[in-house]
Amino acid sequence: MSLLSVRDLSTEFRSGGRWLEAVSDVAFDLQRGEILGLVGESGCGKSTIAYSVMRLLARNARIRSGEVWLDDVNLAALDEERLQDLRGRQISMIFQDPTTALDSLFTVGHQVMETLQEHLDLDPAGARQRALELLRQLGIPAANQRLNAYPYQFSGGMSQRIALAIAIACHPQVLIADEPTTALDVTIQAQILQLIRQLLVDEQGAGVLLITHDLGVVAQVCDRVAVMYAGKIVEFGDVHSLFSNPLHPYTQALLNSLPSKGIARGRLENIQGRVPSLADRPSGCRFHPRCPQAKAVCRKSVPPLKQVSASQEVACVLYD
Amino acid sequence: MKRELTPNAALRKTYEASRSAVLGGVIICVLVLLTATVSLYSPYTPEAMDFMAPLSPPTRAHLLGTDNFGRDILTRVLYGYQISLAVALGSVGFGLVVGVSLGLLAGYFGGILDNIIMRPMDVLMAFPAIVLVVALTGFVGRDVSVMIMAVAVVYVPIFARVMRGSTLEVVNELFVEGARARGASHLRLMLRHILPNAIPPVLIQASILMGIAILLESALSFIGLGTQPPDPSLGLMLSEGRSFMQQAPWMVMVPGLAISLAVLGFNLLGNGLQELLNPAGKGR
Repeated sequence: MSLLSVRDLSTEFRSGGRWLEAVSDVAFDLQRGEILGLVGESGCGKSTIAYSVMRLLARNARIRSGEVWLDDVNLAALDEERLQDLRGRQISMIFQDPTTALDSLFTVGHQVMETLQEHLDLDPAGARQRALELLRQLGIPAANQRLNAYPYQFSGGMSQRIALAIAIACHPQVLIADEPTTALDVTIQAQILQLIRQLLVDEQGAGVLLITHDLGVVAQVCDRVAVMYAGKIVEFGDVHSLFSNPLHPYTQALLNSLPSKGIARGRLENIQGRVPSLADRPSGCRFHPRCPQAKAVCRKSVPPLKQVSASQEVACVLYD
Repeated sequence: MKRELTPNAALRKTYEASRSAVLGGVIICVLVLLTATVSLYSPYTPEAMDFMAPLSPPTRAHLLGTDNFGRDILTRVLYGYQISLAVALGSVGFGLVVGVSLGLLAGYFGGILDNIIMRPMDVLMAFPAIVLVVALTGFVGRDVSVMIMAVAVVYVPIFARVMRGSTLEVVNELFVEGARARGASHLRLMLRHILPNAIPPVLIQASILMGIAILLESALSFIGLGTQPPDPSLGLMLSEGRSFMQQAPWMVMVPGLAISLAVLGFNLLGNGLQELLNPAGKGR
């Protein structure tokens, strides 16, 4: 059985008296011990999926339909009190900007211990001991002194380690990482991803939903990947198949537009046109106005996600 | 490690950033100290009349002169401060507790609760402070506790509004989302994460409203709705001294300056705090 199962999730935002759909009928499963990448351009709805799963949507957003199963609990229909109990204990999240994700008024030790004491039956001394272990596990030097330091005394990479320490403090089954390395430089990025892989996935068998727009990150750490475009998943598959044999024209275009290392091959490829706005989504396949292989039928019918090989699913009429 | 200051350097920087906060703080501390201990060192009680020296100008026996009953003005001013400060502390304290709670709830939950809380606040805000206070004391009675409540009623919506605005800013910060993501309850979010981060502008407001409370108490006593004779109150002394302005100008000047000094202290503190806690808003 999968760890986290998202079923036909649609999330919408209220804007000027109208409800606009940011995520449309998205479905995927997160397995135990895997990192699932969710990639797409800005505004394609990948963060909205994360916030929907955590039920941390802003006031002007709501889940219109769908289910989010964590074990045998449907998070999408859970009351706030039970959610508070689950968040941080079974499912937790880290964010893009680690420096603002910590409360600047409290020491980092306080913030790690706060979560530990909220969810586990620990006295202050026990919580401190556990916090110390966590910081050491995350490779923070002089962890004992660092517990008493304030967030402003930490660099971005160190702050993200602390955020990660808090997120994994209670051994969650699922971690949602919303662009956790976008604000960090490349070497730190690799270390953080390595830590996520090692501490959470390999040691605890947890599942990680990694949201990113960086295909390099996906290739580096993900097991499977879902490619999103304009609120829908257009292609889904394991990383190797998807990178070696991209099926959807959008995935192909994305991979094409990666700069290749060291070889001057003229202009950087790009995708013509731009991401359609929420208020003005194209009919049929949402990618058709920008698709080099679009046919007449693409304008009318919405292609469903279909299994085309053992390891790949795609939503495109080319594979009917 | 980045941006680390040694404690001393940080302190010096803080001091330089705001001499006015320090000056205001010193004025207030000295006033509070003198006022709180006045009964220990003053040779007079505020009601003691020296029939040998009515309307005496400043002398060695009466450092700031006496009034028409021969009562020592310095002593009366210091006792008068007790009432002023009691009204200021009481009204600001009450206004803070109620206003901050309401503003926090309104800002945090928003929606209908926001409207239920803030619309009545808007109505209260619409009344000019002095009119509201005069009406309340006029109806309910003339007593220090009534003055405190009347001024507090004026202050609650002010604090609620500032706190609500500040909460709205903080509630969208990532660290609040982070705390929610690790399972913090509403109460914990509000008290541990939002309140301490959202309170600075409210404290600045509190300092300035302390000064205004002193003015309001004086104004009420001046028009006879506040402290009643023979109790010493700065406003009352000002009012009594009016008839003797020609013969004994110190009778109005001393309480007048005393009011100014206290208000000045709180305003300096408020402005200084504003600069310290909100450097971006400098010069506003």
